Amino acid sequence: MRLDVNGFLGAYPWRRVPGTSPEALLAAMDRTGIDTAWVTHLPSLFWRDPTEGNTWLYEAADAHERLEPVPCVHPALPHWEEALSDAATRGAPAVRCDPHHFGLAPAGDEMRVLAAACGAAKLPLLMTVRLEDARQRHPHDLVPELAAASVRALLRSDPDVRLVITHADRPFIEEVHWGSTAAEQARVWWDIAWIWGPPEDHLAHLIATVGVERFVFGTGQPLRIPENAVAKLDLLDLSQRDRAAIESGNVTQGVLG
Amino acid sequence: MTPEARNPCGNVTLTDRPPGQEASDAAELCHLAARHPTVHFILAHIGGGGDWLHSLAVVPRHWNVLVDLSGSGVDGGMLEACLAAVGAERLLWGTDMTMETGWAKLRYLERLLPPELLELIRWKNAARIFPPRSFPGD
Repeated sequence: MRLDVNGFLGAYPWRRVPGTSPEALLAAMDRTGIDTAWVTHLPSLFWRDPTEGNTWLYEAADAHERLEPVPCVHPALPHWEEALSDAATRGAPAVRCDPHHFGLAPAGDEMRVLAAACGAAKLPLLMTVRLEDARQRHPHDLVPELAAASVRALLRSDPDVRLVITHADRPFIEEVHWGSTAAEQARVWWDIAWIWGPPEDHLAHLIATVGVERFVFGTGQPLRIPENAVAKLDLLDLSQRDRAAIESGNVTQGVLG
Repeated sequence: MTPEARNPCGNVTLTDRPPGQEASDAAELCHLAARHPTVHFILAHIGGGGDWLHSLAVVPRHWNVLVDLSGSGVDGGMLEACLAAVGAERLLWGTDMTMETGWAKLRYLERLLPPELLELIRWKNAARIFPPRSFPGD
């Protein structure tokens, strides 16, 4: 079982990206042995009201059982609690809020209220550090990258919130992990999409120090080719048990447990 | 965009570089390649974090410039753009600091290209442009 927590559907505004339809994503999943993908409606991240894409997302997920919707919630909009309630009712595995994309302070009052509400609803909150390498972004794409301090602050803001952070690299993960208490460390999971493999061996190092239980399989597809996350695992000297934990077990027994 | 301009001393300077684009810019490299048409030039690290769309826009008509696929970038659409810009005949495989990204790109290309074109990228283009005895099998 291989579960991708970091997938998108729909067009990217800053450049042409192939394979953004549900059918194309499923074909890429077939090609790379991915059974299930959590998906967000990518254009929504750039809309004034990101929840307007959730209906389409739910319909796409209803039509394709291997796709699980991760809808957007914008805690500064008046109907945000309804969007969160819809996510719980519809069985979404998590909700998404990328504060910088939505124009929010990442550890501000709205985000803290959302974190607490997600904790109460037992819905993990998914956030990305970045969508693209800062060195190649469109001149108008000025969205800041998420700061590690913001993740620590959100973890600390509510004892029940669980976070899934995508596209984080080794320094970011270490800053959050080693700056958090053991209880806080146990409520955040990291996808492997942006962690380097050999010869730098950042992923191997993090598994040895932070712990295999903190990492989940994520690709960032179709913004990134999914072959990369699979190749990263193939190059690791991992036991079958640890690989299975990253590929799905840490999600089913940790994030969703 | 005005990619480059000569100063009175004859040196080449880039006058309008996109944000994030680093020193070894494709426009500069292609200018150099045009002055030395019998020399092969490698535009290295197309996945190295620079603006690959900007770089690929410059290289198509410079037949002595090859593009290497190395770098940590594995952006969706990048390999298709490389093929559209220079074709399999002018692509070289490489890894840079991240082996998994190089391997992933090969795996992805396997579905885009027939085996004979994939072989060009895997090794035949490199064997063609590097001097004899550059590789163990020579």
